[in-house]
Order: sequence, then C-alpha cells, then structure tokens
Amino acid sequence: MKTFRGLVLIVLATSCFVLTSCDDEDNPPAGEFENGVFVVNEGNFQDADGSISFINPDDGSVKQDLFGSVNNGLALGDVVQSMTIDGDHAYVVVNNSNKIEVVNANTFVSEHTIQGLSLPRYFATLNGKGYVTEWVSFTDPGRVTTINLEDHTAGESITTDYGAENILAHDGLLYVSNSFSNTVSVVDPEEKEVIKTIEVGSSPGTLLLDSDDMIWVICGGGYDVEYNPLNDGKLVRLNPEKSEDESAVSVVKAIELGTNVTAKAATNKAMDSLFYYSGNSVYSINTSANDASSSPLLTEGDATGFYGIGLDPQDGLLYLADTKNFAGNGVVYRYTTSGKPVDNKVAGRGPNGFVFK
Amino acid sequence: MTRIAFFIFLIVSANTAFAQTGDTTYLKEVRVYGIPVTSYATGSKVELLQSGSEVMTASDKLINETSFYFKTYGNNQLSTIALRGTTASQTAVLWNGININSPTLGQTDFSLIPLFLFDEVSIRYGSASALYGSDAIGGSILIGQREPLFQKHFDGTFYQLAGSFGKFATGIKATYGNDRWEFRTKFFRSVIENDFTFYSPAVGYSKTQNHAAVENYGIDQQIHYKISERQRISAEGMYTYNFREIQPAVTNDNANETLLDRHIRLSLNYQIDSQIGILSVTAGYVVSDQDYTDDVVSNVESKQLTALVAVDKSLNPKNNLRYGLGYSHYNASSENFTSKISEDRYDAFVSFRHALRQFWLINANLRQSFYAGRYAPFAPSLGTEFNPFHQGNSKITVRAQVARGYRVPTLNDRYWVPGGNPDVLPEDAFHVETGINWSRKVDTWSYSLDGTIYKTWISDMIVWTPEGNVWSPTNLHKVQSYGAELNAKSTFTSGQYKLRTDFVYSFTRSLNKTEEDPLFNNKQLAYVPLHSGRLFVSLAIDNWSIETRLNLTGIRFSTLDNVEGQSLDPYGLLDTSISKRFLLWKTNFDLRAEAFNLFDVYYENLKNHSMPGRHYAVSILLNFNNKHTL
Repeated sequence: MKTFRGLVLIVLATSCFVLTSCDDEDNPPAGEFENGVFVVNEGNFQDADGSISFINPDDGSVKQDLFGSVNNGLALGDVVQSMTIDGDHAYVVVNNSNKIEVVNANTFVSEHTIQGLSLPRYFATLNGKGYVTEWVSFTDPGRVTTINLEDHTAGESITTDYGAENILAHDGLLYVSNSFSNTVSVVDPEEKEVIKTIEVGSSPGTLLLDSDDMIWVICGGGYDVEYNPLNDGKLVRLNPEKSEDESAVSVVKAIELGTNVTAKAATNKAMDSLFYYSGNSVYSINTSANDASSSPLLTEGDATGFYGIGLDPQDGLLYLADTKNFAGNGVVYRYTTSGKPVDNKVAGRGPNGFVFK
Repeated sequence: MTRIAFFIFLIVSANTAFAQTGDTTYLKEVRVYGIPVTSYATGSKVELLQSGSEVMTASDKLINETSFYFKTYGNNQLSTIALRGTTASQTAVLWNGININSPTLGQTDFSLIPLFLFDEVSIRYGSASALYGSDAIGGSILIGQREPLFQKHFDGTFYQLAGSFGKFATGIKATYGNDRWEFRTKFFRSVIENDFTFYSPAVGYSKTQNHAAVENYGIDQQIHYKISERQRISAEGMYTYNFREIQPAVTNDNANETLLDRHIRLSLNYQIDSQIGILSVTAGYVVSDQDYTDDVVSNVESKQLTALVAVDKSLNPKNNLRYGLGYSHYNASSENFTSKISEDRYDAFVSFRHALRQFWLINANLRQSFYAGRYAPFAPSLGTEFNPFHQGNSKITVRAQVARGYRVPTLNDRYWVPGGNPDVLPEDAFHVETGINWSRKVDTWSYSLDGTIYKTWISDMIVWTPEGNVWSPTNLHKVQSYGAELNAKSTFTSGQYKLRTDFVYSFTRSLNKTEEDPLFNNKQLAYVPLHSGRLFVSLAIDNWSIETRLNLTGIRFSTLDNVEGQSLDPYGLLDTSISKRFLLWKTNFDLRAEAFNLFDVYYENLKNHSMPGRHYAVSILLNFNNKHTL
C-alpha cells in the first residue's frame, strides 16, 4: 500500500515535470498549513504564552507555536482565546492583550495587529466585514465591534449584554451569546443595533447551526450565592427564521442537561448531533431529541478536565482538549463520534479550542 | 567605627553566631537580651543579613545577597521566594516570632517588606517546623530588630537616593536611649515611576513600561523599657503602605490593574529572667489589608492575633531547655469567602540542647500544632554540631540535622468559594542535611569555606485542579528536592586596603514525583534554576570602596513539563558601586554611586515579565552617632 502510494506520487511528480502541464500559477502550495487542524492554546493567564499548534493531517505530527516559529520568536500574547479563518487570513483573538493578530492562514506569517480592543473573545465575518465580541470589562456590558478588514482598524461598537462571548453570523444577522448573563443578542449589523434579546439560560457560550438551519446555544448553568452549581445547564434551540417582523427569533426548545457544563459544544458533519462535555466526560445528543442522556458518550480517565471541543468535518473525528491543569503543555484526545478513542497529541499550554481547515 | 551601612554578609553556623567572640563552642549562657530561639537551631545552616540603612525591599536585598530565586513580576513588583527549590508557601516568614505569611494566600510578597524598618534578616535553611511552625519546609526567614543597648546615646540616620526610572527614596531613623529607655523611630518613603524601556524578543520592538509605578512608605516605632536588670518590656508598632500599578506581561497594553497593600504590625514583648528561666511573653497583632483593583475593587483583609509564651532555662552548663505555648486567632474576609472566616491555632513546643563534649552539641526540638480543631503533623527535629578541629583561629565545624516540616493549608485552600476544600491535608516534608564549615585566620587574611548538601521529601503538596467546572485543592503532588550549596569567602587586609570576596553557588534539583501524571513526573519544578551563583568582590582603600556583584541564574522552566519554548533564558547581572565615606560635624557621610545590570541584559524572572536593563542610582547616607558624648 505504502509503496503503491509512493509510486503514485512519483508518477504524479514525474508527470508534472515531464508534461509541465501542472500550472504552478493555478495551484501553488499556499503554505505549510493549507490543510489540517489548528489547536488554540490560550496559555497561562499573565504568562503571555498562548500559541497555536498545528496537527498535520498526513502524518498526525504536531507543530507547536506556529506564530513564534514562523515570526522570529514573537509571542501571540496573553490568553489566546480563539481563531477564525476567513479566506487567506486567520484572525487570532488575544483576550488579555486586547488585540487581534491577523496572520496568513496558510503560512502563519504575521500580517497585521488590530489594537485597542477591550478583552476581545470571538470573531466572525459577514459581508466583508469583521465582528469581534468584547467583554469590555467585568462591570460594563459587552459589545460587538466592527472590524474594517481592509485597514485593520476597529470601528463602531454595538452594546449587547454582560460578557459578550461567542458570535455566529447567519443570514445577515449576528448572534451573540452573553456569557456573564443569560441572553443571546440578535444584532443587525447594517442598522447597527440589537434587534432582539432572547433569554436562554445562565452562561451561554458556543453558538452552532444545525442541519435544519436552527441555531443552538449551550448554556453552562448558574451558581447560587455560595457558588454551588445550580445544575441548570441547557441546550437551547433558536429559530432564526425571519418573518415580517425581523425580530421574530424565538426559542424552539430548551433541553435541560441536569448538570452544569462547560459552555462549549460542537456539531458533527451532518449537523444533526451535538457534542458537549462536563469535567472529563463527553455527552452527545441528537438535534431532534427533547431530553439529554445522563450517561456520557465517553469519559477520559487520563484527562484532568476538558477545556475545549471540536469536530473535524473532514474525517469526522471528535477533538477534546485537556489543559493538564495548565502545569505544562496540554493534551488533545481524539475519538470517533461513537466515543471510541483514536489517539492523543501534546499541544501547547492551555488548549481551549480547534479550527479545522 | 559606627554602625555603618555596608552590606555585611555573614555565613555562620548557629553556634558560631553565638560564640563568635569566644574560643569554644561550649554552651554559652543565654543572655536575657539574646534571641532565644537561635541557640536551638544547632545543626542547621544560618545566615544573618544586616539590613543597614538602605531603603530597599527585602526582595531586592535577598536577591543581591543570596543565591535564592525570586519569582518577580517586574521591577519592584510582587516577588515570592523559592528557597531550595520549594514553593513560595514553603518558606516561613517570622516577625518577632510571629508567622506573617498571609493566612489567606499562605505566602509573603517580599517586595512588601521594607528593609529600612528592620535591622536584621536571618535565614534558616531547611525544614524546621519544630522551631518555626507551619510553612518551614524549604527554610525560614526571620526578620526583626536588634536588641536595645540601654545606654545613653542618640543615633540619627538620614538616607536619600535618586535613581533611574524616577526612583526617589528617603529614610529617616532616630534612636534615643538611656540606661532605662530606648526609643526608636523609623520612617521611609520610596517612589518609582518605573518607566523603563525594554526590548523583549516576544514583542520584537522596544517598549516603554507605562504601568508599573510604585509608591511605598512606612513607619516603625519602638519603645524598650528596662524595668529592672532582669526584666524588660518592648513595644513595637509598624504601618506600611504600598500602592502599585501591576506591571503587565510584555505583550499586553492598556493594563489597568493596581494593588494596594496596607499592613499594621503591633507587638508587645515582656521578658524576665526568673527562677524558672527566662520567661518571654509576646502578644502580636497583624493586619493585612489588600485592594486589588481591576475594573472593580476586590478586598482581602486578614487580622491575626498571636500570643506566645516561652521559657528558656539553662539547667546547667551542659543542658538548656526551652518550652512554650502559642496561640493565634485569625480573622479573614474576602468576597470569595461566604462569610468572615475565623480560626484558632495552638502550638506547644519544647527544645532541648545538650553538650556531649566541649566540642559536640546535640539538639532536639518538638512541636505539635492544632488548627481549626485538627492536628497538624507532629514535628520533631534533631540536630548536631561538632568541631573535629579547633586550634587558635582555625576551626572546622561539622553539622547535621534531620527534621520534619509541614504547611497548614491556607484559608483560601479550605474556605475559598467555589472549590475550597476543608478536608485538604497539611503538606508534609522530611528533611536531612549536613554541612561543613572551615574558617581560618592567618595574620591579615581570614577565610571560610562552607559546604552543605541536603535532601527534602515533600508529600501531600497542595495543588488546585479542576473538578467539573470548579477548581479545588487536593494533596496531589509529591516532590523530592536535593541540592548542594557552596560558599567561600575571604577578607584580606593590608594597611588601608581591604579586599573582600564572597562566592556562593547553589545546585538545586527539585523534582516532581507524582506518578499519576506521567507528563510531569520526574521533571524539575517550574521556576527553580538548577544552577545559581553569586560573586561579590569589594575593595576598600582608605575611605573609598568599590563593590562589584555578579549574579548568575541558570535556565528555568515556566511549566512542569520542562519543554523547550517554556523556559526562561539564563542570565548574568553585573552590578557595581563606588562609595566614599567621611566624617564631618560628628556625622558619618557615605556617598555612593551605583550601576545595576551593567551588561544591559534583558532578563525575566517570570515568563514574559520584563526586568529593567542598565540603570543607576546615587545615594547619600548620613549617620549621626552621639553614643559617647551625650
């Protein structure tokens, strides 16, 4: 098999060479990171050692700290929260450094720095504009700020609610989960206003689109005054369908999870199943279900506690990030969607999420 | 010569400290104004730093004068100690015998201890909970005041420094004494703008620090009264204020966090030389009040009331006995506690010292503590010291000790909401060490060599780990720490010339021994350099003095997996100073110019927290002493 593949490669290479019909202009290798899985490692708070790792899909090898290794040892910054790819650009949001690093998505060469943000979290693009959520502070309501993708400057802001977190662009609107609150804000970026605020549940996080074009938001659950968990984590399905009245977005159903969870989730490739976790256990639920299962899909005994989740739409593997207590580099565990372990990889410090390309 | 503020760095074993002037290590009569606890530290390595009259933090002083590693968050910023490869919480810090580690956090920020208000800093290496109670695992730092003279005298000190990055420091001290009373007043104030420029490879261009300014002031008042030849009472009150902008990580802009710390420390001590021995009664009250301001103010306040009673009895020339009781009441409030925490702790301790021979001492100490209705680990220690050779000014001292150390979980560990675990156990350590000291004086040349090796086994180390979404402390880690320390010093005097050299080298291997976590097992703990060293050379010619100090710190890992890319580069810092002393109007003047980090090395003691490059200071110290003429 191996030799066969090798032979094919040789034949292809030779044919390129001999026939010179492979047009380099059309298909140049865009860069080392054209295909693969990026791991977002937020690093240790105040250590400014956040990084992006890359898992090569061909051999499964991991390259650490892309930004530093490509850009002469530069640091991405303090608490690398998220990364979003749009075309040839990757937008790396660095929470405690109050900036977005714009890099070439294929080579990771540093391109621009978008400064002047206030505790930015997640980034999305819509109709040629960028939008970043910002916590602003722990006492002010959060907001969405427009990013000019041409000159890389921050523009107008739209205030949402406390702890503006995840952002999803869908059908001309922006959906923002407000993690210090219990709401999702629906923002009309053209009118620059919040057109609806929907109560969903305590600490909403990841927003996902399912196969029925419905939007899901996972709510981590709340705590009482003594910080005891209220065990009211939820998955809430929203109907974004526009009617006459644009602000008709409504809650379709809310599934009680019976426990507090991390407000992060992923969908499978078919977008009809959701995956979420609590501690070192992962749960799955079909989008048509009305009740959550209390038995996990898998429990990873070696994990200290999961901190991020992702699903590779290409090979369908489930990715879970374990920070190992931030004591050192974290580990990425891979499973099939039925919960069978595949392997694990050492990533950077404090892995919290994945980007699949 | 008057008490001149020079860096005097003495390495002495416990008993030589007490028998410096004598020819023998035979038990000395413990004087009523001695520091009673010292004489029971037989077998342990002890260093005494004279604090002199500089306005500087204890952190800077210890960094300059020892080879300890301090995890400093920037210039004049939060600074915690790693003594012999242990954590910041595993060093006991005692003021007048009272543990002043923060009861909530369990450690001391040495940048908040202004040296100007203290006369002496004594370092006790190794585990010694039998003598110093909780936290004495890596070692103990004792800070305090020198004994009153009870002589007619007046001392005045004025210190003024101006330095780079907008640094100004002023210190004033006055002491008045007669045969019954002694009053001492100290005041200092120190400010620094801290707008240093640095080039960090992680940033790639030069940046100027714009959020690292510090203002620090404090006052100390002491009153000592000799009731009779056999009785004394001493009262001390201290207030310190420290406000600082928290220096951000190099990559961060728009930092706005600040920290405001206020400490009140009061103590009252009564000593009497009576039939039962020297009875010492101490009452102490320590308030620590901290405001951390991000967007909102978070306040943590703790109050600690301590009472100590100890009796030190010289049974006969060969045997000394010390025993006593301690009581501490803690009150702490924080928004992360559901209510005000209050806790009582009790200690009972006994020490016995015996001279087997003229040249051979043994020493046993025991302590049992109780906290929050629980037993702390029973802490014994055993030490010995003997002189296989002693002739004239040449002496060899061999010392050895075996001890247990422990650390009571902090109030945060037990009561933090969410996650605090009331059942978390104390950290536990078993420690052995041995050392040898050879000192010799030949005519104008005196030198000493001191070597120590040690090993400490620490179990039940408290680590916060996530359980579900809540972090909680558990007794997860085990650590084995071992190392070697070498100290060589010499003083050569010839006419008006005096050449002093002092060399220290430390090898510190501190390994995580937690098999449950294979990624981190057998790895060096974070921020513990394997190698560190220091070379100090001073040359005095007449009234001129040139001092040079080289501090070398090896590679440190910032994480427990010891991987490339999570390490801090080794560095060497060269400091130098020139000073001139002269006498004018009955006043000693000491003018000094100093340059720090002469090589202009970029270095960090905490990942991505820059330290300043080359910088300078000039200072003047006036010392007025009228002991003999008043």
